[in-house]
Amino acid sequence: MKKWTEAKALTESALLDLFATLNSASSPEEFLGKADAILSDPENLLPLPVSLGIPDVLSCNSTRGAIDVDNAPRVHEYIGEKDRANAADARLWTYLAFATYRQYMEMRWPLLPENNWKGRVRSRWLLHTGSVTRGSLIRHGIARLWWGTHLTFAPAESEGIAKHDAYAYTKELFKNEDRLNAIFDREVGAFPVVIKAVLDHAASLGNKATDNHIRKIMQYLTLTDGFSGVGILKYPAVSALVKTAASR
Amino acid sequence: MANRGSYPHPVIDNSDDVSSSFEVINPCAALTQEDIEITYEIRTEDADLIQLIESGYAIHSLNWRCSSAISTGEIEPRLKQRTPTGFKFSTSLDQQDLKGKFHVDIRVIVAKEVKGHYWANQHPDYEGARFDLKPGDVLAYGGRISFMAEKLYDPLNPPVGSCFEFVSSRHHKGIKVDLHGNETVKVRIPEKIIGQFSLFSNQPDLQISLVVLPALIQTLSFIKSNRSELLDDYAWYVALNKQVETRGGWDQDEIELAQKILENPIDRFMLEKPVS
Repeated sequence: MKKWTEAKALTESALLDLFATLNSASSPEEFLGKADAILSDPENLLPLPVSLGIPDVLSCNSTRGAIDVDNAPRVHEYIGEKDRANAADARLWTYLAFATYRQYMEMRWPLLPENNWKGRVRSRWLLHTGSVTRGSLIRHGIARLWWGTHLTFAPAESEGIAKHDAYAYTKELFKNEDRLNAIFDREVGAFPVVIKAVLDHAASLGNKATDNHIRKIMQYLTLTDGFSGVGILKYPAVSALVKTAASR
Repeated sequence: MANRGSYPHPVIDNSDDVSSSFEVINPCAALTQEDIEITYEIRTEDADLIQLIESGYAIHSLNWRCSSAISTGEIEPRLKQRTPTGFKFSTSLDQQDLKGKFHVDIRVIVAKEVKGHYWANQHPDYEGARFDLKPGDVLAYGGRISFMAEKLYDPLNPPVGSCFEFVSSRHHKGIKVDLHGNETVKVRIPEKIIGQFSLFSNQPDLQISLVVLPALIQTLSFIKSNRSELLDDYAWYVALNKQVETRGGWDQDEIELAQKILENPIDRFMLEKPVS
């Protein structure tokens, strides 16, 4: 398979072929070999509305836990801003994982025969059109980078940590390994005001903002959202809720 | 009292916290070009709730959540009509934020702090207890309703996607349309422009309006002028003819037809919300 190919999308039938191939494959090598054959057939590919060219290389050399701090903005810059409905497209993200960003995927989410490699393919490499959810998007190897950035991209902030860097919240999000899951695994995490308040709090704590600490805050916000409309609150009120949760 | 939920105060819903009703009836979602319009009616007879709304201490709220597009929001719906038994509402959600199944929760929430709140119809077990309520607290809950958001067309496989081939070319300015191919209409775009074109990758409607729309208009114009000839050998003609026939036929202006086939890209671009 040619590495670092331009972004395209798979056809729906090719996507289903990949799932069928995974089910029948007995080893990662066999699966990836057959997957490459599917991706090499032009009939199985859809061009994007606009050519994006070849992307910058993603790196896996950073210290563990912060591997994707720079990778996430790179993917976002390459793909560009998209509306959320179109960005929830399994055909796009699966192609990007298997072709465009294949080298990164093999380093970041390797398929090892001794581990549950099929489970890893299903969670990190493949997306099924019929089951695209918040959970699957924030776990998929490439989709998580774009979505994590899209949800935290702040090009118009006139104050705070993103005043001089539109990706400041993105970098804060990817600073810890599981922070993305801790925030976006919960529905309340999709409120922009919640994202901003939680990441501002994390930035103020520095290294003390562990994944467990963020998870505890999100649990409290989820509980509060059960009896109160958190999404309709202004930033100061949500920030106060975050501080209350942090002090419990 | 019914064993449900964990509200820290009595709420009007299908439990017996408060012996009043708060019903959502005739919920409906209609797909438009840009939005999904949701309409519904609320019936309630609770005088305390109506008083809180009319005095500005409470507002109607529609909370929507779409897992597939990781989007959620809470908005105050537009009041269409005050009825003898309640309220009729309408509100629009942007299609760009929705994909597949999404849910809406219909409720009334506190808008301004309320000290010592008390429902005249609250359950006797509360023994006249009073509650301090904060903005956002739920006062009445009408339930969760699910809808489906389906796109009008697939942007990765658009209606005319198979008809046109965009190729880079030199030695001319502006786009040129070549109608001689059997399979596709070739749209020749100067090499320098193609490079700049990708700068607008986040605005596909602008790109479609600038290049695809004029190419389609010229192609439709060519077809209308040559319909007496046999065009059935041209694959792009067969595909476009089908598109036109399903959109009211050839007895329309080319510019009108082209915009219909492309789902009005100029409107979409001009009305698009600024990137936030």
